[in-house]
Amino acid sequence: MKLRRTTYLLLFLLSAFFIMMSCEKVLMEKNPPNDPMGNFESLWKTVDERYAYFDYKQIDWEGIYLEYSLMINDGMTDTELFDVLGAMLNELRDGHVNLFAPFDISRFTFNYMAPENFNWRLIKDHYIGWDYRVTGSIAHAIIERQGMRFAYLRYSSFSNSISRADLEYILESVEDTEGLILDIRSNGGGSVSNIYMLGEVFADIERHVYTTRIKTGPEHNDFGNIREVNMYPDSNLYYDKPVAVLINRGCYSATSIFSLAMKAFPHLTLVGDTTGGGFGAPAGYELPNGWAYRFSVSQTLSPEGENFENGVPPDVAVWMDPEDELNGTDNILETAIEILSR
Amino acid sequence: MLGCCVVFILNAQDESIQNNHFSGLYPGHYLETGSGISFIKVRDEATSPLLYRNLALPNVKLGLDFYGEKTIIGFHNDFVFGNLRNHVSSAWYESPLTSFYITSHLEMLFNIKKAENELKLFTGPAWDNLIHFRVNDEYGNSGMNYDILLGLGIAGRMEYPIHIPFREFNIVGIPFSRKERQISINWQLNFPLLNLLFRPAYGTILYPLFDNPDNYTIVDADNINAGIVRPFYVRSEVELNYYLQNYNFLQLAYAWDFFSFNPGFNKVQTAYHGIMFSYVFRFNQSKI
Repeated sequence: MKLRRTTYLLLFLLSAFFIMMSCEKVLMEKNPPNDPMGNFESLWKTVDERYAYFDYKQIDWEGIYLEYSLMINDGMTDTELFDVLGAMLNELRDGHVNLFAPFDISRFTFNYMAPENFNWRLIKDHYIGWDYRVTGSIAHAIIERQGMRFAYLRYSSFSNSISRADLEYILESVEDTEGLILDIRSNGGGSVSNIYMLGEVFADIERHVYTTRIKTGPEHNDFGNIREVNMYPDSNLYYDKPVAVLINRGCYSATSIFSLAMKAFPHLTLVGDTTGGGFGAPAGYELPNGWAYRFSVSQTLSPEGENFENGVPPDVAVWMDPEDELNGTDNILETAIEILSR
Repeated sequence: MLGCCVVFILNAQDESIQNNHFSGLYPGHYLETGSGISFIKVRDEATSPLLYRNLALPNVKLGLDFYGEKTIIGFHNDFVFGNLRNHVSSAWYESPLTSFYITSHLEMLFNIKKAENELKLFTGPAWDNLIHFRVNDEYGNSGMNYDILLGLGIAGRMEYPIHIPFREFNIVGIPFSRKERQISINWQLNFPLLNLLFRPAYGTILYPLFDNPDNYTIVDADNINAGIVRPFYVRSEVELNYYLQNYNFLQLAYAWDFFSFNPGFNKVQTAYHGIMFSYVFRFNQSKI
């Protein structure tokens, strides 16, 4: 009797186990088809539902589907598929959009529209010399002109972290200057946290510097609430004299966001060329064949709600003149010195 | 840990359970420590259409049980770490998904059927938590994703104690004996009904969380989902307990979890299978 009951119980448990396993098999979805059209569909649909700038850039994504789907066929090689998918993504005209395959990375070259407008060798040869200091990730020196002293700070990548101790040392060493030139030209961006670390050096009072909103649904205009981002003053870490921020087309992503944030401070002037833009935070995804890709899923707007995705314009627009450059003159830097000398 | 086990097992020789009418676990307080292997499967459409899966090691189990005559208060936790892979991962294009999977279950169960040497049934309220962090550098800013589920629901437990008596027998004239043994087969099902899920919203961008708290908080309204049996989560655990002479016992358990959430986008599904071997200490040593 007892043995029979035990057998029934074990059978019951075994049945329960197999029923659960079967439920899992039914409930868990299968992997999507890993063929050229399956990968194309997956990419197109994900971008369609998540990319943040269709309306702003007036991109006809449906039309792009029709155009590029005709190029997909079952017999195409991985390289051919990569080229078609990469070209389709480049229709978004966004430096934050890439397709990563084991053999190549597709990219949109955002800064081809203007000259480089930056020559680091020229600055070293003709303005700051070769014995400038490097504190943390910031190179700095003093430029003297007509009895006036200007601090020159070069920050080449927002990927390089900045510490409070670095900034304390730099501010102490430029205390007796009449103005500060912050050169962030050709800084391709990096970590947003460095925006606050560096930017708050110039914060006189708490200021609303930009707003962000992120995609929250599949429609092109499905965005969540606007979030305000503020910068806060720190009386022990504050540069109160005039500041010129040098920008060019190579200022992208976090550097563009920094440039926009600096517009909130009245004693700062942006000098140079329009930045490269790239205000959307890029999120990463994956295709059924394992290739990764990324694109912008958020928007960053000015406090007034203006969208600068295609670049932040300078307060004073200047380009480097190739002839002057050959003669050792950086027109953008010269303009900054002129502004600070006033 | 191993030393403790040896001491307790040796100690077992002194205190003999003399009970031919075994009716299951003896009232008392129990500490459960175990480890084993598990297999995790996850598909998170927030970042990939692919199913990631792999053996996950280590899998550690920690629990406390307060056994009374009519009630059981149980608190069990599993900690699992694993590197999951999809079916298109290759040696030259690695994309492992690092998974931290933690479950926690607190239940208070009441005996609804009890008979000597027979099936015992328990049921009562349970608080089930599931925390699953996943990191994949390949996705950049959205490289970290998580599901944090807090669920209030019910649990059901079935215990079937079995007493195997001492037996002597001959095989080709050689005398053998089988020791008296006491085991039990248990099955517990936890099913949360009122659920609260914290999960990144549509964009799945988490880096501002670390950069600027103004931008993102884990408890933001966009990231909270609540519902009745939504998300769906169920846990089933089958245990085989082997009782030692000192009221401690060894346990071999198989646990299965299934979690699913589909808000219309960013669907996520997770399945967990764990086989664990535990040593369970009875730590209030009053005699039965």
